[in-house]
Amino acid sequence: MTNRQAIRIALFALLVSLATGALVWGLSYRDSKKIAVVDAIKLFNSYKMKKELESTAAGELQALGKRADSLKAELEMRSKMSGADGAELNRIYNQFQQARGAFEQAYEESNRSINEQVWKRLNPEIDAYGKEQHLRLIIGANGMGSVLYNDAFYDHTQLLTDFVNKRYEKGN
Amino acid sequence: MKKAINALLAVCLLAGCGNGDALKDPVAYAENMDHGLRKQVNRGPLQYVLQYKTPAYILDMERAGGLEPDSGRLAALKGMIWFNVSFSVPGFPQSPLRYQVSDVGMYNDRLNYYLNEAGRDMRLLYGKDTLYPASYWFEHGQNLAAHETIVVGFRLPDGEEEPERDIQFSFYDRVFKNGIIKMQIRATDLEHIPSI
Repeated sequence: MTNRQAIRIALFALLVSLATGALVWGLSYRDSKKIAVVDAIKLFNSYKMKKELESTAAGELQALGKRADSLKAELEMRSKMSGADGAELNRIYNQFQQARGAFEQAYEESNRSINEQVWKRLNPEIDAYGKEQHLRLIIGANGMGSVLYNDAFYDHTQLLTDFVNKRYEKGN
Repeated sequence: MKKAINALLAVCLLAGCGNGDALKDPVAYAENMDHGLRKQVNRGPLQYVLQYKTPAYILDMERAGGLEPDSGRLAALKGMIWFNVSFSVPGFPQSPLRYQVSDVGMYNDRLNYYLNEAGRDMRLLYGKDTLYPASYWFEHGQNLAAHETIVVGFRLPDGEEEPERDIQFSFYDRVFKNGIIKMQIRATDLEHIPSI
């Protein structure tokens, strides 16, 4: 065997081992991608922005609630008085109904708006986490029976919560 | 080889000189995203640009606008943390206040919010202290530009002249409801601001 032939064989062997290595690496990389399960409700409730939005809304809701409560107290007090004016009681009752309606409407609207804003912010963050962790699938468990069982290995709830909260505080 | 090394050194020197000029310019320094004093975030259809401003930055911008600040101006700006909050809708060529507005009442509500109320939805975490705006100004663009700008200032505690602790600015825009926007500036980024 000449030197040239020997070099050719060596090069060929090298190429074959490189290709095999790449194939093995590719397959193991693919297999290393995992599936994760996340408790969606826990994630949502632990997200700092949700808590901050709720505390922002709390002031307004409390003011509306107090208005309804004070009208209710006034109505109760007047109705117990002897010789209470029926028309006056009716007027206060209508005011109370309006105040209670306003509170309920504001409460529902606030909940709806917070839900929408939080999920709008969380969804791209969940994508970012999935990409960073090389996950193939993230299943959102919500206690409604979509995930019947998962062991701790697949549970990324705490990791994802930490990830989204850290990024939120940094302003991402 | 020697020529190549010389050429490389010349390029490095030139690049170094260029950078030095940028470091001396308070506006260029603060607006360079790498220095951590400016942040751009897209939230829903809105784009927000948060800009931390040193007193030198403000003076330079005022000079650029044709104002010659008097001798007391610098002292008046110290002891505060200043931010610009600009917002626009990318691709929408008018003021963001007009974006998807259905009637003049809706437009006026938005304008009223930015003129009188948005300051209440801003705060600054300075180390462990929470600061609220001591100065607030909405620079209404009158639809002459496709963006609007809020100028907000927070008074430093304990008579401090310049910020030395970590800063976290937050703003909840109740008009566009895109969640709370935050910007964090580390004390080390503040330390690196060249004294000008």
